[in-house]
Amino acid sequence: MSKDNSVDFSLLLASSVHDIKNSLGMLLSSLDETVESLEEENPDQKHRYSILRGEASRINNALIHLLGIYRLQNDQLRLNLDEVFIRDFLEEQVTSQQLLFTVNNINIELDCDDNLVGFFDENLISGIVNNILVNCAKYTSDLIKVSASKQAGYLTISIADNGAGYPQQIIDNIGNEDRSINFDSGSTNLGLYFSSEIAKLHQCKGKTGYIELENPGDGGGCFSLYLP
Amino acid sequence: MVVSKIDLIKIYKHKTALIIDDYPDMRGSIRRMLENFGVQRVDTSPNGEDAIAKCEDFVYDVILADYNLGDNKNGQQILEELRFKNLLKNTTIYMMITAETTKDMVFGALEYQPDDYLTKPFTQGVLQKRLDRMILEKESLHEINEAIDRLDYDLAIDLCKQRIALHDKYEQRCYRIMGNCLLKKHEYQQSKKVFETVLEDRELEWAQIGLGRSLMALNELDNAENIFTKLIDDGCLCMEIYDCMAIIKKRQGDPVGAQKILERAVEISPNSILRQENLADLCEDNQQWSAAEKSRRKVIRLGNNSVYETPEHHFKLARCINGEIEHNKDKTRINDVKEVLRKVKRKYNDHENIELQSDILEANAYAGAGEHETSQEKVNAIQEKINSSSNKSAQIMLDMAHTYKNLGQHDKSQELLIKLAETYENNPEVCEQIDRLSDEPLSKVGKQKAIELNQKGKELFANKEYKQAIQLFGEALTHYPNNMGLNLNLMLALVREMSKKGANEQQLQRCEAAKEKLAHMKHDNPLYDRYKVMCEHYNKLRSSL
Repeated sequence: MSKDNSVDFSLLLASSVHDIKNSLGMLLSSLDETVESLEEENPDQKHRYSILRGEASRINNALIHLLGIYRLQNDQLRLNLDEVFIRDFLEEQVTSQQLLFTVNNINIELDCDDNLVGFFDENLISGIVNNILVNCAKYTSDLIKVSASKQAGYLTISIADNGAGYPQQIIDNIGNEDRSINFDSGSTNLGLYFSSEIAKLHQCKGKTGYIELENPGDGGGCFSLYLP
Repeated sequence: MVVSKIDLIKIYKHKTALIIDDYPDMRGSIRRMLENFGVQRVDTSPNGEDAIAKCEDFVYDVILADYNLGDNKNGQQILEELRFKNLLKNTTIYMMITAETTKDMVFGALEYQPDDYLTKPFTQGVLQKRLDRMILEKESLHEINEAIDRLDYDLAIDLCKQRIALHDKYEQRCYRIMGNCLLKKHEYQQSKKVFETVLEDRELEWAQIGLGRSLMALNELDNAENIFTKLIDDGCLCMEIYDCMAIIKKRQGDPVGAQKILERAVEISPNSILRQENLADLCEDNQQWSAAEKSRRKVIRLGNNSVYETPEHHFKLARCINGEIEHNKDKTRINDVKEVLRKVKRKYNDHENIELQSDILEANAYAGAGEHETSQEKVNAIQEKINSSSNKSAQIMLDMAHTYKNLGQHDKSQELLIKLAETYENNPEVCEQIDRLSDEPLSKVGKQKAIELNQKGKELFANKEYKQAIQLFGEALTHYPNNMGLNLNLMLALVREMSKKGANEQQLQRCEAAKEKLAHMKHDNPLYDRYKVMCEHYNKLRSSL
């Protein structure tokens, strides 16, 4: 601590976030157990708990993003590149939020070749995919399509829903190089900022990762992650 | 074998699992999950000791270990111990459960990494997906892993090649297994090729490490150094790269650089016994006594209750302090050696030769400090014990030869060493120890090295590159500190350099140290005349200052 008793605020924030995340972890697992024990007796209560869990998940994701960005800015974030079986990976992401999808009557379609392999930091990318899935669960009407394929040297993971689509302002912002986090709009798009930064960290033989948002003609929004 | 997911339910029915967690609730919760998957037998352990005992009795298909097990061995240490004791088959799945989202906890060598990490908290669904994935992989590569467990690397390599030809999702896994099998078979040209093939597509850490290890074995030290330097700069967490780098530095004749590298590694990951031992060895080579002693003491602490625990760690500490005593002629530290020996005698009183070994090291402490009378009394008593002992280890005889040497009884010392060199002709480690102690190389390897060194030295002298000659002989002397030829050549190089550039205190001191090593040379030694000439040169230079 320096003489005037001031502490580096971002450090303070980062360590608090770390603590909160641990508590949240406990909260999430006991919520899981509670929902498990409720089973069929009380569908209404189960629904409410599931919403609780969904929101807790969102907070957890936001904290992971905050910590990630803190580490990114302090050059402490290091990629753990690993070979990942994409189908298993995506199934795992869907499974971890299955409860949320079930209670909201959302169907999940997964389209991915069983032999598709990717190389990325599984933890970080799982943070990105999870965040998008939880968001989609909130904004879609009843369907989320998850697909992955390999094109032109990039692994592409796309998550599309059939809700109202992404607001045009957010789509525009993604392409904008000097975009910043807007604290006035109510939505900071922290998750998208994080996704884009993490994607950029993934590089291979002159290629760099990136994200894309679009509202395809047939309705809904589509998030795509491209990794070299 | 290609396994579909439908077969999984059937597969689980034949599986056995062990859960290692210090929380009973957690053990119960994971057990229920595994039973839901249909696992036939689920055992649980609250700590490492119990888990290892269970693994000694039974071969599990799946082991789920929490990383943090309170004050006990952690999940990583359990993994290393199981591998060390050969209790963990390649066909077994070892999954580590961690509380952190990152793998930042530093893990040692690639060989000691678990098959998978699972981050807490996890749901039953996520555990199942992970286990499904691992089980499918282990089933698909079962024949390969089984071949490796039988040490049949040729078959494993063949099977890998067949699998790679299928170009399915296990292609990379098979490249990796194949590369490692080739390393184990010492087929370094081929392993190099495998790792290079993988690296053409992508800079994967395991392939870079594999390539670096292949290059090291092929003696392409500079290329290997480049690879490991880059990995270290990129913040690679695999501590193996530091160990490799230290070996490279040492082989390049830079033991100080090697020491620095290992000091860095030990700072990042202080709990590897083998690395601490290597560091202590290097510090001793570099005569960094207090650093060496610190590492030796750390080794003992880390060894407590581990598979690596041995009285030899204590004896090494005693030898380390003896080295310092001998180097500084420091009597005050004799008591520290005695304290170390008291402890080892108390702790391992049922081990064979503990008393004998301790007595010799104590006698050597006195001899090194110049207390020859006390030492001689002890040696007399020891000689009787040695004669009656049926099982005399090489180490005991080496320590004995060392003590005679410190007592100035060079004939007795040399006689023991010559006998040892005959008995342990095919043991490179003992041979190295013999040549370290001896006035002249006695082992085949040592003799060969001496010839090469002399050849190089001659070239440097011819080109008047005395500074390099000083470096060459100085480095060689860290391996063979007592070698007469090397000491004499170092004196010559120092004398020539100082004649050219003027005398200086530091080089005079080195010269004097070499002169002392040669002081016991006999008059009929073929090197004696040269030695006398060097002494005159030295005296002249000394008086010129």
